[in-house]
Amino acid sequence: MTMRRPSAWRTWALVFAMVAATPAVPWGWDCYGGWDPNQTCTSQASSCGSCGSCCTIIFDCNSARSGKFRHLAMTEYGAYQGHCLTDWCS
Amino acid sequence: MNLPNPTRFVLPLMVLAMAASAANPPRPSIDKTRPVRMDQRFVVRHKEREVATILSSSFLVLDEKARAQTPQDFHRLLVRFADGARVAMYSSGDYRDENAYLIRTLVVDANKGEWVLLTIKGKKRGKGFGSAKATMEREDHEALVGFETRRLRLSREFEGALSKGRAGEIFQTAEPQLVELLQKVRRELPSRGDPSIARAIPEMFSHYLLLPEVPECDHVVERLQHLLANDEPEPAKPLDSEFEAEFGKWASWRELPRLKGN
Repeated sequence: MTMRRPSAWRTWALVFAMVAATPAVPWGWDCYGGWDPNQTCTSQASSCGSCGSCCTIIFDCNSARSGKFRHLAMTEYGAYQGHCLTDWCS
Repeated sequence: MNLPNPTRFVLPLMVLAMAASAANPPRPSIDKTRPVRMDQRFVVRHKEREVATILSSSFLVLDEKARAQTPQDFHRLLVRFADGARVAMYSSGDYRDENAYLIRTLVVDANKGEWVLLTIKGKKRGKGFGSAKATMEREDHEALVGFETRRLRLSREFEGALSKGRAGEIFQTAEPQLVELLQKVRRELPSRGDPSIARAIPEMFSHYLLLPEVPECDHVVERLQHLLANDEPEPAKPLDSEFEAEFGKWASWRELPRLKGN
């Protein structure tokens, strides 16, 4: 008995099915579609348009946690924004 | 061939050079391991209408490692609404005690002199911002939360108990004007995408006092100016002393304004 080689379409369909069935491995806190609040604003600036904008997004993610975390988030946001301003990101 | 007289270009070139210099101020020389004062001025707009002006001032350390050791931080937001309301908001962190941290968050109606103070106290090990943060990150950590106004003092309860207790109901019944003050700030500022993060402070109160939800606004917050410099060993120059002066005794720096007898 000879086995027929699957067509290219069937092969790709199998690959997509395997990918879709694989559980997503979390790589960071998924907030607003993937911003990782543990990364600095500068490292993500190319994705969200500007250093300052990234800082604001990350703050919004962090401040969704309970009350006392907002104070910490304010301090860390301030530090990141200061970093953006001193490095001339905008 | 007649060459153009170069003196015709001197004045325009000078003007261009001055304009370029003003648009790109020299990079500030800042020691990022030492505390800075970061002042920012924002405007809040609804389409073409100006809703409020915000002067934000923070005392903090930019460098992450140095920040972990910092004994204190401080945030102040002075908000002047177009309707004449003036709100002064503060949040300060004290991490000097090796065994505990203390966060004090204050909202003041600067026109009427009415205020509400939130205190959050928790145990920790070691000094500095880093130890407080590490403690708060633990899932089994609960802080003690209390409230105070001129007329009311709600003794501290564990955070988890607040949602089951009556603190929110008592506060909302006893202090409707302060509730309205907190809600006004929440209504007029967007919950996301706000570079001033001024809404963060009333949201802390809302979280613990279970304030009613407010409709989301479509206001836009834009930063107009900033000034950043080390605040030690010498105090940094404020961005806008005149704006601060409009808030009188309710504008203070690195410490909460005096509440008793004020």
